[in-house]
Amino acid sequence: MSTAENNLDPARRFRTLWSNPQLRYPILMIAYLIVGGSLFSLFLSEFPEAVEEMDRLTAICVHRFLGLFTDLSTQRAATVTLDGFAVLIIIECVGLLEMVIYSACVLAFPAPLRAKLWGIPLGCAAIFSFNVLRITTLLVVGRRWNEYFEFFHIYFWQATLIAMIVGVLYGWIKLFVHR
Amino acid sequence: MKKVSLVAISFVLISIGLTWFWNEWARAGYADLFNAVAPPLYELIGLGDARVVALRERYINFVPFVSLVLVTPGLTLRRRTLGLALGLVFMFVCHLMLNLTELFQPGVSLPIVPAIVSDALPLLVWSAVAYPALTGFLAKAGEPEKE
Repeated sequence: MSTAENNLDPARRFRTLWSNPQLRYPILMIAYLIVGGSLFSLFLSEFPEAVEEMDRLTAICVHRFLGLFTDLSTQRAATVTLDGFAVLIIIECVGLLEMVIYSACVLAFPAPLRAKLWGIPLGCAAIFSFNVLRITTLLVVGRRWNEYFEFFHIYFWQATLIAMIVGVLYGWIKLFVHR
Repeated sequence: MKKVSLVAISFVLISIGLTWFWNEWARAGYADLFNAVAPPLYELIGLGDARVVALRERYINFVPFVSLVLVTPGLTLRRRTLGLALGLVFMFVCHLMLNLTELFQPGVSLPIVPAIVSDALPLLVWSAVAYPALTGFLAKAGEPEKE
C-alpha cells in the first residue's frame, strides 16, 4: 500500500493516532473517569447507609490519629471536634473522588496488569491516609488559626487533591512500574 | 530525591500563592468574565436556558494546573508558556461545558461525574502540556515486564 493510500485509510489513521500515548492516555483516562464516576454516582444513590458509614469511618480515623497527640479530640458520628472546633465529614472529604481519579490514571497508564493490580488498592490506601492527615491539619488550623481556616479549606481541597494523586502515582510508577 | 523534594516544595509554595490570588481577586474577575461570555455563547448554540447562577467552586482547578506546569522540570520556555496559555483557554472552555450541567442540576455544586472530570482536569491538561517531560517515564513503563 502506498503512503497516500495509508493516509486515506481511516482505520490505519486511527491506529496511528491511537499509538500516540500523548493522545491515548488522556482519552483512556476520561473514559475510565466517566465509567468510574458513573459507578460511584450509582453507589452514592443506591447505598446511602454505606456512604454515611464511610463518613463515620473517616471521622473515627481522624479522631484516633489526633488521639496519638492529644486527648482534646472527640468524635460523634461524622463530626470530629478538636478542643471545641468541629468539622463535619461529608462524602467529598473521605477521599473517594481522589481514589476514582487515581484509579483512572493507573488503569490508563501503559503498565503491566500486575503492577496495576497492586497499584490500585495500595494507592487508594495511601490516598486515604493522606486524606486523614489533610483533615487533621485542617482541624489544627481551624482550632489554632481560625481566621485562616476558610483559605486552607479551599487550598486543601483542589491543590492537595492533585498533589496527592500525582504523589501517589509517582510512588506507584517508581515502586511497581519501573522495577 | 532532592530534586523531587524541591519540585514538591515549589508546588506547595506556588499553589498557596495562587490560591490566595484566586481568593482575593481572580475569583471575582473570573465570575465577571464568565457572566459576560457564557450567556451569549449558550444562546448561540441554542442553550439559552443555561445561566450562570453562581460561579461553581470547582473552577479553582486553574490553581493546581498552573502550579503543575510551572514546577515540571525539563520543559522548554516556549512549551511552558504556550502550554499554560492554551491550557487555561481549554480549561475555560471545559468550565463553560461543565456549567451546562446547570440545566439539570442548578446550584453551586456540580453533579458527581462532571465533578470528577473537573477535579481531574488539571491532571489531564498537564499530562498533555508536560508530555515531553513525561515521555521518559511513559516509554520506560511501556517496556515488557522482566520475569
